[in-house]
Amino acid sequence: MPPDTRPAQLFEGRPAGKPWDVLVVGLGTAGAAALQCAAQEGLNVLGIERLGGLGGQSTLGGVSFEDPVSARLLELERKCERIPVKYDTSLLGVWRENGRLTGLRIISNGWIEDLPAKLVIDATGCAAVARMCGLEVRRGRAFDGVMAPCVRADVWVENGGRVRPHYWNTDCSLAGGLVERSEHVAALCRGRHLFWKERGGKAGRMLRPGYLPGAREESRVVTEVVWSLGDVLCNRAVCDPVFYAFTPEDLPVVQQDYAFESWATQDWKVLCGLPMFGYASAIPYGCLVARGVDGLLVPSKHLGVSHDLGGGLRLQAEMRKSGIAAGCAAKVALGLGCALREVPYGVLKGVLERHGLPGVRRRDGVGTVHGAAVGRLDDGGIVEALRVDVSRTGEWWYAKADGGAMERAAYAYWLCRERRLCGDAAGRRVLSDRLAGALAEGGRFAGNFAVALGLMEDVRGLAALRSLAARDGAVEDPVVRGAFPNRIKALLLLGRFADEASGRVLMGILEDGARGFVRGLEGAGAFDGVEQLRFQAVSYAAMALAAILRVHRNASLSCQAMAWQGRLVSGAEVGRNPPWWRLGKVRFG
Amino acid sequence: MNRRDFIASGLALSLASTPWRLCAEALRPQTIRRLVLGSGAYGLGYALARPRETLVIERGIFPAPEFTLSGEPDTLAPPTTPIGNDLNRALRDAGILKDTRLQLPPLADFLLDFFLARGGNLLLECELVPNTTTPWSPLLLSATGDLVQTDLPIATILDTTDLGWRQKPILKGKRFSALAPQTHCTVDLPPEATWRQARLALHQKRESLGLDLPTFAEAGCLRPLYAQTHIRHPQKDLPVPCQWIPSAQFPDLMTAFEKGYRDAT
Repeated sequence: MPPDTRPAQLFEGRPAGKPWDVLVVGLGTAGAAALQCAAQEGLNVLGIERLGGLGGQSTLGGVSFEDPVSARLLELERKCERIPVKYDTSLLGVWRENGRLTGLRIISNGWIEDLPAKLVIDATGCAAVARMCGLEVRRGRAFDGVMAPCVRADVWVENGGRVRPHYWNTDCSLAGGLVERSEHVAALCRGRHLFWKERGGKAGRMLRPGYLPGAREESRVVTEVVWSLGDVLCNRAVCDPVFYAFTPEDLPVVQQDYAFESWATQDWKVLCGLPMFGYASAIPYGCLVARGVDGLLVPSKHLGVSHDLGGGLRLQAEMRKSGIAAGCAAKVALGLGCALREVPYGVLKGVLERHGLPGVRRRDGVGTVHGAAVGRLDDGGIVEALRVDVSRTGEWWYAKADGGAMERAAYAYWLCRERRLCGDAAGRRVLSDRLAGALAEGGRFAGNFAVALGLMEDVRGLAALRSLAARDGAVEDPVVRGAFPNRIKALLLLGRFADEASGRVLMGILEDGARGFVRGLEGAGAFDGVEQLRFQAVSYAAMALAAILRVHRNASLSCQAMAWQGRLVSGAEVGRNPPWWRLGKVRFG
Repeated sequence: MNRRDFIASGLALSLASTPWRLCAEALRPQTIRRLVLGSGAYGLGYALARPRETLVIERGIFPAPEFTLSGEPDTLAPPTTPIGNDLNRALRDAGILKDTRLQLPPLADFLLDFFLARGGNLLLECELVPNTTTPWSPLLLSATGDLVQTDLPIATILDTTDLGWRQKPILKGKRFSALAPQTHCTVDLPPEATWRQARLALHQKRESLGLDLPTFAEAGCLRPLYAQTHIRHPQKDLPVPCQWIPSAQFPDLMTAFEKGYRDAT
């Protein structure tokens, strides 16, 4: 097969015929909601769906924990009974005139049809319309474009009679072109078959297979406003929210290579250890408005948020809200005859409120997902909460948080971060003085205080962080069962400080492959084996060294690092778990 | 399956290390000559007769949806060919066929594995788009809207899809089924019935029978009921010879599969 030769999918002009007010492409959770909302608002709307039912992942994809899939399919169909829908129909191209979308080209069983429209809602989840328009899209994280891994969910009847989705997670996303994607989907299905053969009888019986490969993340549209996890976690003001969400940070990172994720993700996952918590987010209207063409709204998981924010927002409740918001925006834009980016928020808000949006901001900032009381901590409470062997609060966001010591410690770290970002100078100083005092006392928990000071970007923790990285014994570094080790957190923080003095130590860790560095940690059981531990250490050390070399030019260290990188990558197997080969993308100056 | 099992099964390595090479090998222009539209069981058998020359394209993610996703029939004719025996044995070994009854939900994954393990070439989530390139080669549309002009020198096309690519089949009806504990639920519908009408009618019947909703699993396809038998129509919209032989016209998966295999050899 030659390199992709892509025939035209963007047509200039407008299709003949009376235009629909709105075409909704993709009738998953967001699209079905947009379709309903637009119809309720009196718009002449047509839905286009590739499969044979509404609801996408939450129905045909099998991901339904509360309602039976059949019930949801039926409910959606009944709600949309009077709304025309073309099933078994694929999007083939788009029409545009003078910078505005004017219609779509569709195909069903080989028959092609052009549909004129005043406005299009792209709810495909993979930014299909946006890409056909030639708009800018982004994929995955900034470091290397890696996206959240895909999954297939089937519905099973467990041996006790409970009906629930059963996931099969992979460590890869559905990136790639037509052929590569097909290979991944086939691997998903073959993996499911293997599971059936080996363990099917013990797990129960399969009720229905999921008819969709579960891509958690695909392309994301660059919209008028792009919102990030960092924006949310520092409570950046949103003057035009279309919906509020309080979501857990559900971003199963491929092979736990958090070293390559955003700082906001690292703060959440690594430094604070907050999987048992959720965060409040307000989503600006501009995240739904595609940039570069008029007449296109983009609810669904490809909306205008960054990779690190998408993990929490792609859940069903939020996707539904994004669809409703798009339906409302369509109503206002068509009613006023204005461009989507000029929709006045005051008018939009009135329509949103008819549909229960933007809703009520459930809480400010971060809180436990299941309402377990952690309780606000004062400065003394923060210090006391860190006088524990900090370990994980739990792997999955849906497990119960009991407000115990681990949750308090995670929250304490979080409050340090929050104080740095949002507190006044005096308040920051008071807390960091207390943390520095606790660090100076030494003892078993000194590493915790060094990490807390690092979260506050206070250099009084730097010496301790260097000591942890160098493992020179000056700072106690106990091996804690199940913990994300302080010495690894130290590597991350040394990079944040761009600490030139740590350069040689970091290079030593790379050269040694972190074998000496992780000695003793194997017994803690924190990761999936020694190799994963080593990968964690090496990846943080590499990223820290790269950060240092960006600020402090050191030709000899750069050369050494690049030579190491060359040896590593040439010896590594592509796709090996953990993904050592990703280190080939680190830039050492 | 956890990560450890996935890797131990070899799937991770095979996926990560050779997918492009496998695909490139399979799709090298000098080998592929036959295109099969839709992964109907008839087409799978046809393809396995000459796997290196044949590429099957399927719009969904499962093969033979007319049998694997239709909710019925769940019986299998006895095999009459060596490849049919192979299929039969593999189904029993996997625990999917017991006596003559198939366990339908896991059948789709099994069949995909069976087909690929025997050298079959299959592209999932894509469909054929009309094009007028000269010399003609398939233009494919993916599920994510990517349009790819291949350079495969296809000499013949077999269409196994339910309604035929750009055909206007004469149907006497459609059938929509569901699996429920200990029973099936089925409705027969007029030929022009839509997915919406089918779903609403099926649930009306479910309600009348008092069947439980949580364990009610609708089929993933609307099964066509043809007005004719032995359907074999030429498709005149393609510049290479194309026959439409819908796989769904056969009474069961084995019959369709073996017929396809025999017709290809």
